[in-house]
Amino acid sequence: MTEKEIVQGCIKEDRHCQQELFVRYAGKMLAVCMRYTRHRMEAEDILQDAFVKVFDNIHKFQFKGSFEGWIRRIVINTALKNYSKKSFQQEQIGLENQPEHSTEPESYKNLEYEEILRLINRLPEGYRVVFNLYAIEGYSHKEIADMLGIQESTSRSQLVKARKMLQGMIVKIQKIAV
Amino acid sequence: MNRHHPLDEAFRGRLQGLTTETPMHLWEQIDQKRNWKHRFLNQVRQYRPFATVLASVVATGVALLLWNNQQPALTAFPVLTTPHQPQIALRSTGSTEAIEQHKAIESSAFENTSRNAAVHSSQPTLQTQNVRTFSTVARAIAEQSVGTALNSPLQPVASAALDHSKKEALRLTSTSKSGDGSIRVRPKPAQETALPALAAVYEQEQEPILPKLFNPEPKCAQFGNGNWDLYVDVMVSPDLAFSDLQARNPNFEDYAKSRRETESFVFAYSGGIRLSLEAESGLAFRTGINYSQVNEKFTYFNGTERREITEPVRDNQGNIIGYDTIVTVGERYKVSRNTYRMLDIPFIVGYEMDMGKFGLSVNGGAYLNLLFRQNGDFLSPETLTPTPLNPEDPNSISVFKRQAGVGYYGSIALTYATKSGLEILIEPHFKMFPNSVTQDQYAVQQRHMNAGVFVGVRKHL
Repeated sequence: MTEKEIVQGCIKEDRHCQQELFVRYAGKMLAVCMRYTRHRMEAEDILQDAFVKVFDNIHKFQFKGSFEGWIRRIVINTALKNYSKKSFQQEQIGLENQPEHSTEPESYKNLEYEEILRLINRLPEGYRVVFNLYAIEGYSHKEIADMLGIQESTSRSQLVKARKMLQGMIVKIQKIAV
Repeated sequence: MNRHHPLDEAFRGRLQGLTTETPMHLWEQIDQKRNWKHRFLNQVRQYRPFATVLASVVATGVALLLWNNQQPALTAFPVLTTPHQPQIALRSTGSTEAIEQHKAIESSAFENTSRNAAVHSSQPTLQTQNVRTFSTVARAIAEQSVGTALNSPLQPVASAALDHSKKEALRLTSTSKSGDGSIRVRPKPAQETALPALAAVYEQEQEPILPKLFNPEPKCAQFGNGNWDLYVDVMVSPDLAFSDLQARNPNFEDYAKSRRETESFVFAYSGGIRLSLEAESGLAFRTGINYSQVNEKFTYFNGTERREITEPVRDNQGNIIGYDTIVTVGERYKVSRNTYRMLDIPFIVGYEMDMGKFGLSVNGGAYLNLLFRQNGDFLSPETLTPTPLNPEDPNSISVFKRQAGVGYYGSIALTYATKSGLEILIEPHFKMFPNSVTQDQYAVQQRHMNAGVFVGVRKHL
């Protein structure tokens, strides 16, 4: 079944097409959700909400651009909405005085994706969201500022702090491994 | 923009395109969420502009229909300034000239009637006055109709009617001239007596030709068909809401105090539709449907919030070699908007006092709560941290009851009748639910009270 057939079937509320769409994209989208949450359960909740939105609004897809990109955008927006509900801001405290960690770029290549996910999940919420949007999804600071309702400078500083914290965690792992 | 930071590149390379195994129960849950009701609402949302226009058109149509069918206000009995006009005869004969002549006859008869009625108004008894007036009217009709009939070529229908009028008038004249004092004609007011004379003639002579000539006047006021009047009230109110929190036992006093400190009233409103059945004696029974919503602000602040994350630490082969615990201490500040929604059926008894254009009523009764729903956060009694009022987990026990029970209602209503037939309604009121809306096992009893001023309109049905 082609992507177009699936989309057209979903517009007609064809249950088989909807299931096919879910099977095809759920794995990738769950991985996206897991980057924005600490727990898998929370990620699954976001995925459910996002797919409900996808099915509700699939008639709006104009077949211009990537369908996967369209779904990913919905998933990210749903995750951001979930993030904005929390307003947990305490994690920024006490990170200003952390020492700089120097890490060799080569050391990043040894990290497995589970380890990378775990490191990202250990970031405070604000850092994690900005890091995900900038480093992984490729949004600009201006776009991030618009999406999160923050200043561009805040986005930049959060990214810098996120990187600093990740580098520190990687150094710690390497020390334990050695 | 630094897109080439080695950390970003490494993370993006590993994570982009990553796929995770997804359990199929997620699909089943999505399928359940998107049930027929959800899909229907989604369809409605898609066609919202059309639905809005359609609803507006339907609402306008219903409003116009109601407006056209409404009962006119009875300010005066609608006596016509001219007698009945034989419009059907116009259609039957096709001669406008003949009808115009006939109208002239009737008009002059009416003028004579009025004049004579005024002249004889000083007569000693009503009986005598009526007889004389009636005789005068009949004579006038006879004289003028004879004269007109001779001078103009009337159409057959009009001629027949006039002939009969003449005979009838002469007969009545002779009756009155007999002077025996016995009155065989039922006394009527002058105008009312004069006018039906011709009508009776038409009914007798022209019934097959003019079947519906003397239908009831459509603008004639309809008199009440009983002792009860039905009204509909549509009203909204800004409210003040009071929430009374009491600990079930002394152990929970501190918790109750913490809840009082973290929750504050913001605004509330209510609105509803009510039917009122009012007796002539002033007694009124009212019922309908009422929606009310209370909005509160939940504010939580903890300057020493601790959060712990424990993660396994692995070696290069993936073996767990230890556990890493990250403890974060910081401030936590959370603000939520809490809403309490109620849907009630009022059962109210009132007493109406009529004061001309104004009306005053005193009302009291019960509100039967159908639905009681909450949204937002409150302090958990176990952890004293923000917890959803209604947890998403269906297995967890909600602290609130599904219905708030029966509440008391009291009000004083003032109405003002406008020229459009609507009455403006202002009703200061209070509503109180005496029973706690929380479950028995929950630490705190919570009672709700509302007070406000309904503003709305009342329409006589």
